[in-house]
Order: sequence, then C-alpha cells, then structure tokens
Amino acid sequence: MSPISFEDLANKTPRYGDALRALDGWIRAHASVDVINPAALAKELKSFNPLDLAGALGEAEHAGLLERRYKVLTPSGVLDDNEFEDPTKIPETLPDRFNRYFATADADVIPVFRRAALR
Amino acid sequence: MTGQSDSDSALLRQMHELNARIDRDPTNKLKIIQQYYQERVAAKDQAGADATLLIRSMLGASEESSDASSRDEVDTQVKSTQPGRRLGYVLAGVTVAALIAIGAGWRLYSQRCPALPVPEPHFVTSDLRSSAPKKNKRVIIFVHGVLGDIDNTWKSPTARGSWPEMVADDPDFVSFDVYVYGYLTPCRGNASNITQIAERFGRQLRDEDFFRDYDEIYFIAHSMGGLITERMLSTFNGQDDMRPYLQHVRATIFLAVPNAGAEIASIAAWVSHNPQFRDMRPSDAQSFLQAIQSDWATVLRQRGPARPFPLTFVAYETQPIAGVAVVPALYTSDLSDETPIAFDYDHSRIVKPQSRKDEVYRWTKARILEASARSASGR
Repeated sequence: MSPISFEDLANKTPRYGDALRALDGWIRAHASVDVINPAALAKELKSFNPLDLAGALGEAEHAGLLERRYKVLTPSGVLDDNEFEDPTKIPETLPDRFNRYFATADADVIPVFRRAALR
Repeated sequence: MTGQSDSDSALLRQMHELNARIDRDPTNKLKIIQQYYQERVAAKDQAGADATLLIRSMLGASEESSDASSRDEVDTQVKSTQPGRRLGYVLAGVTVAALIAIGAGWRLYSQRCPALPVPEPHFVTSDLRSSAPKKNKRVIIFVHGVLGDIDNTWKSPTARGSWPEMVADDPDFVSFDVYVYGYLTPCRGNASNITQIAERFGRQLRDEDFFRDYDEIYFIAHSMGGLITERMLSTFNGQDDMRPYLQHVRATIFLAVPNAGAEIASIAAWVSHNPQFRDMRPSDAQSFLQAIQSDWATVLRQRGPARPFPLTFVAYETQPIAGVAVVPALYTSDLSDETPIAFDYDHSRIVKPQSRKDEVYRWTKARILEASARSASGR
C-alpha cells in the first residue's frame, strides 16, 4: 500500500504539482500499462516541460509510488524484457524475445518506472 | 526559483557532458553510461546520475525546442564562467557552422536516400507495455513494401501510432498477436531480391514455429511485400511437408500490390528501376512478376471445401504520387475473393491510417474478422 497519493504529493511539491496530476491521470487512463517509458510519456504529455515530468517521476519514486528500473533498447528499437536495478548490472549480451543474444555495447539504457503497488 | 533553474541547468550540463562522451565513442555507449554512473555513485550522487539518465531519455524523445532553450541556458552559463577566450569561441563557432552546413547537406541527401539498418522483425505490443508474444492462437503479420521500413511504412507522421500499434491496441483484436516483418530495401547499395527475401521469410516463420503455435495467420502486405508473401506461400504449396501450412493462413490482405494485367509492362518498368530488381532487365522483370502471379493463382485455384484457405482480399490506390499511379487498377477478380476495392489514397498513404476510424483500417479489420469467423464456423 502506498503511503501517500499522487494528489497528496502534488500538494506537497507544488513545483511539480501539475505534472504529478497529469502523471496520475495518465496512469489511470492506461490501466493495462505496467511499465512507464518516460520517453513515450514525454511524447504524450507534450504540454509539459520534460524537466517537470522528470521531476514528477523522481518525486513519485521517492514517495514510494513508483519504482525505477533500467532497460536496454534492442537493435530493433523496442525495449528488451529484462530489467535491472541500475545500469552497472547490465551484461555484455542479452537475449531478445526469440532467445537470440545481442551485444549491448552500443545499446541505449532507458530508465522505466513501475507502479509500486503492482509489484 | 533561481535555485530550481540552477539545478535544472546543472542536470542538463551533466546530460550534455555524458552525451559528448558517448558521441566520441558511440560503439561503447553502455560502458560509458556505466562508468558515468559509477563515478556519480562514488561521488555520493546516485540521485543525480538517475536524474541525468532520466532527462536524457526524455529529451531525446521530446520536441527540440525545450532542449534547445535549455541548451542555450547551459551554454550561457559555461561562457560566463570562462571569460577571455573569445577568439577560441569565434573559431569554434566557425567550425560548428561549417559542420552544421555539411551536416545539413548530408541530412538532405540522407533524407532522400537514407542508409537503413537491416531490420529485425518483431512482435508489436506497445512502447509502454511489455508482454510475452505468442499468447494468442491468432497472429497478424505486416509485410512492408519496396523502399519501405519495418515500422515507418505503417505510420502517418500525424497519427499517434503506426497501423500495427493501432491493431495491438484495438480491443477487437485482443485475441490476436501482431508481428511486423522487415527486410532491407535501400535506394542505393545491394539488397536481397524477392526470391531470397521470400525464402528467408518462410524459413524464419518455420524456425520460429509460427505454423505450430498459431491456428490462424493473417498477412497484411503492402506493395512488394505482397509479392514476397505470394512467393513464400507459393513455395509452401510446392512442397508436400509444407502445404498444410497454407491452411493456417486464413487470409492475405494485399494493399497496392503490383499484379498481373494489361499494364504489367509499366509495372515491370517501374520495378526495374529498383535495387531489388537491379540485375533484371524490364522484360525479365515482367516474366518474373507473371511467374509469381501464376504460382499464386495456382494456390488460390487449388482451394476447395476441404482446404478453403487462404482467403485473399485486394485493395489499390487511385491517387498518384508525383503524377504517377504506382499500382493502379491492375487487379483481376480471380486473384481476390471479393471485388478489388479502390481507396482514394496514394501508394504510400494507403497503409498509413490516421486512426482506427480510417476507412482502409476498417475495411482490413472487417476482412480479417470475417475470415476468422469463417474459420470458427468451419466454412
């Protein structure tokens, strides 16, 4: 159970208040989404400064509403299924969905967020 | 307020520094990110490292305007902390301007003829959703056309998602997996020809056990992707151990696919300018297309009550691109289970629906659901 709601957090941190409310609304509108990709979020919530959205995600993480994980972008441009606590844990090769291994040396690292309550 | 903008600027400066390190050695991107992360953690600033990587991923995806304004702010700060180096900045400015000019020229060239990576076929879920493929017993496979791209062929610049993504999000297709197949189709350089791609495509579907894992397979193919699909399925028809696979293929939807007909000579002339037909004279290209069509017609003709599939549906464009109708009304009714249907789009736009309300999307959806219902009823 989360110790605080998005609305409470928005009231507590007014600088990110609007972004937190938008983030909350987005999560409610995407009930089937289990991984929040910040890049896609920034695309959808274009009216918000990405710095504010990033700050809102960070505040939600610190409040225990979200959990941060790291994923790797596969050569085909989709996020690999594997998740890591931090980038240093990412190995030199990873299997894709067909169990074919690809080198991660030139792959990008993407932070993603999960709702804490769902885990 | 100043404190907030200062912290934002510091964050952006860190991001630019990290990006500069990556730009110097992009083949070691992961190692550089890991080193950067370890450095920040050692400096008791893991939160800063997390924030830098977060904003980096977001600014890469958002509009450039906010990035540019933030970058200006950062640049201004850097300049104010390092006075007395104007000549250096002037020289740097001239160098940057020259690089930008060269870059702009290259970009123009690249936009006309981009260097494409070899595409990796993949299941489509959503950028935001991770779920295992092959959950369902039905799959829709998208096959792009000549000079196409595994993802962008299907996406209108003004739409929120590509056609495969729309299908993946369509509640009516919740029991279907979605897969996009791709192949290299450059406007310069070497690439596999249609036969080679068709063989590779069929081999991959068999290696990945598509015909074991899926009861119903549907193809949505555009332009040359239709020829590749026809070629692949005709190959199956020619081999006893693979012929049963055809009954898993419940329907093929061909959109703006070059076909046999009175104007085939003009189509052959068109494809002969394509690298995929580089080594083929126009007369040979015409014969090749006729052979594909003849084999495909055999597949359709051999259907019967015991083997009713694949159903096939055809649509074509009516609007020209640059004054040329790439695939006008060339279709003959014996190669489509319904009268071929015309859409008032051009060759590219016909596979770029704006939304699920788009008429091509709705028509295709109706054909697939109709074929699936027919499968369920055993007809």
